[in-house]
Amino acid sequence: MNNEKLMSKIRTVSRISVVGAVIYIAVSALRFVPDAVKGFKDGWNSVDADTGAQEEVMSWVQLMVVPFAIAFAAVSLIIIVSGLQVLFGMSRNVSPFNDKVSKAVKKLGISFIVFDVVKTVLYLFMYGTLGIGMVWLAGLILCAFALVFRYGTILQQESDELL
Amino acid sequence: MNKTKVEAMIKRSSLIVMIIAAVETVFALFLVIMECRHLKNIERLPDAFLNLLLPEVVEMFFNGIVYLVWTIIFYRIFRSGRPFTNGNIIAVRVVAALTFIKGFVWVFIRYGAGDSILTSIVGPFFSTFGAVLFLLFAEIMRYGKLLQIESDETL
Repeated sequence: MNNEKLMSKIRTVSRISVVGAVIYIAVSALRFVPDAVKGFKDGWNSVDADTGAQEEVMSWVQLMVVPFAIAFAAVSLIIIVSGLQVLFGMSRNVSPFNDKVSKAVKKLGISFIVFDVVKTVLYLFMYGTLGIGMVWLAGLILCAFALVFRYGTILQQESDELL
Repeated sequence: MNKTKVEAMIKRSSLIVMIIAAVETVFALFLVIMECRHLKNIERLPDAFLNLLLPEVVEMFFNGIVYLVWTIIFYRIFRSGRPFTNGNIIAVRVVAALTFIKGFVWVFIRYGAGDSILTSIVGPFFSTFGAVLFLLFAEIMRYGKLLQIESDETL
């Protein structure tokens, strides 16, 4: 298979992945909306029923949880944006090996690692359980792949200069 | 940054990822063996517990194999310093296939455990998406291999 055919194949699979990513984000959001609404209503209704002591404990926990919850939301958003950036970059550009894509892959990898750390701390405060996920390993693999992309960029530059 | 420097960086990072992936492989497969021992006492276990345990064991087993494949990929990259090889392309495709199969095995197990089809199908959707992404990586590596051949022929 020649370069052109392979490139068009990569672009097609990237486009499919973009559509898949958007559908996945939408499905996940729709799945969590009922729980989130219910949780918000329950929390709102239970405010009046709380005793003073409970409120004191809750306010301390909430103070600790709020920054991590904000960080969690921010990192999730960065993951979504970087993921789509990588896929869009691959589907639009002539070659998947360019600086933009390699930087976006690195950003995605770092975001995955931060996401897992923030999630672990958040769960520790909210539920008192320490559960380490596997997303950080995916992040580490992506960071290693960012270097592979950088290597590919060098090869691509060599190939372009040759032509 | 020149090619040699990047190759050295790839080697270093591959070594780190390889070690971590190897540890994860051992850990996951060890957990599978431990959980299988629980499953052997099936007559004494209540159904609800079995329904919770079985999907976890299957997922851990697949994860263990996927980590093993990643260990092999990064070992190969660490040895040669070259990521774009036929062996690595095949290995990434194997990861894609395993991710895809895991999703469907998951549906059958969750459905068999009494979950609704809608709840069971969310996991496989993610797996299918993951499999497509891995296939995309495999194709990119194939393109990288062509560039690598061009570069080697020029030299």
